[in-house]
Amino acid sequence: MSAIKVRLFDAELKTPLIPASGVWGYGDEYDFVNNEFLGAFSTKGLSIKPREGNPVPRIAETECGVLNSVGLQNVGIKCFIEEKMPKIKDLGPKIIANFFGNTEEEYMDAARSLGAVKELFALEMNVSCPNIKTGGISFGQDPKMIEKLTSEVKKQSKKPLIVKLTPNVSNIPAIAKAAEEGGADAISLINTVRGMSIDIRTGKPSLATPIGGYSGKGIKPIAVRAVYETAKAVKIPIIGMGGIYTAEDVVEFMMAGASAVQIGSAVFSDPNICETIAKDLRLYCQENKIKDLSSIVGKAL
Amino acid sequence: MCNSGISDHKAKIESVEFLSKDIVSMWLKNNTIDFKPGQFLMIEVPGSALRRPFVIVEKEAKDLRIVFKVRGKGTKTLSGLEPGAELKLLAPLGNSFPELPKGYSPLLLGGGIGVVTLLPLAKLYSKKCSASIILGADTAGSLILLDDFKKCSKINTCTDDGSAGKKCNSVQLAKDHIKNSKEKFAVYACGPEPMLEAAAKMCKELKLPCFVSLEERMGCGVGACVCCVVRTRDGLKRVCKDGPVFNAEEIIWRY
Ligand SMILES: Cc1cc2nc3c(=O)[nH]c(=O)nc-3n(C[C@H](O)[C@H](O)[C@H](O)COP(=O)(O)OP(=O)(O)OC[C@H]3O[C@@H](n4cnc5c(N)ncnc54)[C@H](O)[C@@H]3O)c2cc1C
Ligand SMILES: Cc1cc2nc3c(=O)[nH]c(=O)nc-3n(C[C@H](O)[C@H](O)[C@H](O)COP(=O)(O)O)c2cc1C
Ligand code: FES
Repeated sequence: MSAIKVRLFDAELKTPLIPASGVWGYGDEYDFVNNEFLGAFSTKGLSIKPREGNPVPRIAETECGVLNSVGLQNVGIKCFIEEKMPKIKDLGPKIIANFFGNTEEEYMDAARSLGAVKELFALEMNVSCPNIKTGGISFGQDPKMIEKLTSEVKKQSKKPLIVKLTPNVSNIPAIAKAAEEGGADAISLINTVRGMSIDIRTGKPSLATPIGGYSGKGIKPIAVRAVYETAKAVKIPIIGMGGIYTAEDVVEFMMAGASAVQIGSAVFSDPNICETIAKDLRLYCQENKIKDLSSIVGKAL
Repeated sequence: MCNSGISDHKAKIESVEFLSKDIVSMWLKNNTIDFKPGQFLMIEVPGSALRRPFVIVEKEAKDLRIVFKVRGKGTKTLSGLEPGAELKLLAPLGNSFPELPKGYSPLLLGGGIGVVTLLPLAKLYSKKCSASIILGADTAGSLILLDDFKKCSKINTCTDDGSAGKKCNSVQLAKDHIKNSKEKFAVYACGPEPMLEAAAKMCKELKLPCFVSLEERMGCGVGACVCCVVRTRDGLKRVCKDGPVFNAEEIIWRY
């Protein structure tokens, strides 16, 4: 597997593949998956207080992807630390704690609590979820607010801080740059794209909310573009995601500038997808005489 | 191995048969999956981003059976697949129907396509005791698996339009059955949500235990994505992991 190792924050990830926030729960449900093939995983978005999320139906399928409106339901940081961490700390993959808040203070509290958990590898700050009326959306849209939020949150812990951006803004590189200036250690993107669908049999929206977040194959070109633009704008590492299903997709994201990638919706199609992709990536490296997959990062820039 | 007992399998389609104009019985070749009554699988649909959940109806030698109603794109695609096609399926998923409480006789109450969920229970109880089986549908053509159920126990049927069995709904028929019998029943129900809610209400009035198998739209099927929640007295629960079978008393209907 050595060719497909990548480095992130002075650590080595066995593979560049990271199940994305929201599809992997807290890491304890996929006990039947071979963890050897995960570089890390990102937890469901966590908040200081537990949260109930949106009414059902919360998920729907479209021609080229998935719509969801889970609404950041989560057990809360206290329960995560006390009940989930003991179950997942020894699983093997590095753990990235994804978190969010409704106010700057909530973000800071969350980062402080999670930052104190020794076994966590990094924190991923979601400033982009389009589902919540009062949530991250305003933070993720304004470079000034992002810079301030990032610098305040960064002060709360020593862990590497990944800022996860929304594609639902007109100028992604400007937001990324602001996060970098605020002290972010990496940028991850993209979160889901605002979308909706209507069930024409009933004439009703497919989701209860009725607008949700679009993910999966259909958003890949948007995500590749976002990674590419961001890579041109910042020096910190980028973790790319959005519609990754195959090793070729991973290579494309890395060439656009991603140092590692996250796999979201594809897990629903195949929970063992990281194993398949990792094996195909190894073959890709062999066939193309690549000794170190990281050498392709930013090749298209 | 893992605690959950879940794994992702491959299975070739052995046969596809229409039981009515829109209900399909599909046998899948797989002898490695074991399941308990009430458990389900998530099956891949070619061209679809999400797998589809179906109850595991029975297992015979090397084959596993699902029975489904053609509703939308996914079930339409599945119904058109040919024997030999290979699909991935995640199984076995979810909890299962709880054991019969002591001193009670089982009453299996099915509505529409929901009856398929009860066949494994009917088979189980046919070995142990005799279950009362009540099956309802909108019309005669939608009453399915009657022969399979008859092999297990005596069945009572009803339809909304009276084209087969009694002309009434299945909960009414169950109520009559319970009133005309000396036994104390535990009700196991699966069907459309309004029917389950009515069954829950009836059981509450008659002070009988009632277990319902619920449906909700799913992403992962294993408890990770919290897409499939139902509101209960203890807060939100996941149909795929904490269910699909719930004690009816727990459920807060119409979330
Ligand atoms: C645990 C469980 C067991 C089930 N067992 C059976 C069974 O044995 N036989 C059977 O006929 N049906 C069963 N269903 C319902 C079945 O899963 C849906 O009818 C099917 O997913 C519809 O897919 P579609 O693509 O045809 O419909 P579409 O409406 O095109 O589907 C769009 C999306 O919504 C989901 N969806 C639509 N209706 C339902 C529903 N009622 N429940 C859950 N998800 C839905 C689909 O899975 C898909 O993700 C079960 C559902 C659950 C949750
Ligand atoms: C069901 C679901 C739940 C999600 N929950 C979260 C979340 O809690 N926090 C977050 O930052 N992103 C969340 N996401 C977004 C994903 O992490 C990812 O950014 C997005 O789905 C794009 O990747 P994909 O196309 O590979 O799915 C969620 C996505 C899905 C499909
Ligand atoms: S479908 Fe993912 S939690 Fe139930």
